[in-house]
Amino acid sequence: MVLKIITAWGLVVFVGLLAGIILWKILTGRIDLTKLVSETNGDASMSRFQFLVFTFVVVLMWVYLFFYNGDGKFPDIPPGVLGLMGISGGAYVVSKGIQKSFEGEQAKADAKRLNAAALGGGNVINAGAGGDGGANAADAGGGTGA
Amino acid sequence: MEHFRALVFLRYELWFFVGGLAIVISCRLLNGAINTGCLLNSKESGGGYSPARLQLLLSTLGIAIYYAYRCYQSKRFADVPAGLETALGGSNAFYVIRKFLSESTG
Repeated sequence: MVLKIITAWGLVVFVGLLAGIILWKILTGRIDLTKLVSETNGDASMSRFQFLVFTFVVVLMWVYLFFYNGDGKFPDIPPGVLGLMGISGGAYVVSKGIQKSFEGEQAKADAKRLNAAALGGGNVINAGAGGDGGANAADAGGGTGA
Repeated sequence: MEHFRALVFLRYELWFFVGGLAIVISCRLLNGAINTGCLLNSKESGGGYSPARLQLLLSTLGIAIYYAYRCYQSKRFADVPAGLETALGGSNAFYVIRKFLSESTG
């Protein structure tokens, strides 16, 4: 019985401290949320935004129902909700996969152009698809990013 | 009995944390501290407005608000109608296909 009480209060203190520290760090900016829904190029991502919205809806409903029921039992989450989360998460993964695969191809194309320009004796003007001349020829590190 | 009091505290902590996180993130989304620039812009070279993204945003917000309202009304996790899953799946499929086409053309 004593062990149960100690464990319970220990959990309360631990969770409370963890929650407080995380919220404090978010409020003071130490945990940076600026790019929470952004892609690597800095633009906002619709897939991430959707995932964020559904995650918060499900979690807030879960916490509300946990409080409302008052019997200490976790609310049952129907399979349909998991299906919604799965659709949202799956779309995010597919979208990310598409982006990464085309970024990889663009990087290879940029590297090829750079090599060709270097071998060609410094003439970096090109009219290739997806490039915009000298600026991109010098940057083989990534896609067009637009 | 004592550990039940601890459970009550735990519930309030959970509510405080999740609610606080939701409020902070909502405020930061609204005031621009969380970047939402180009959320509705196409990734094509022109970078203009994308109808595929707009429909995904509207369907996401619509479905999320509708489902939250149904859960609030029924005081439990409501069953998700099949049509809702189909609508969300279709919306996402349209977005992903449009993204694939725009990335492949350039």
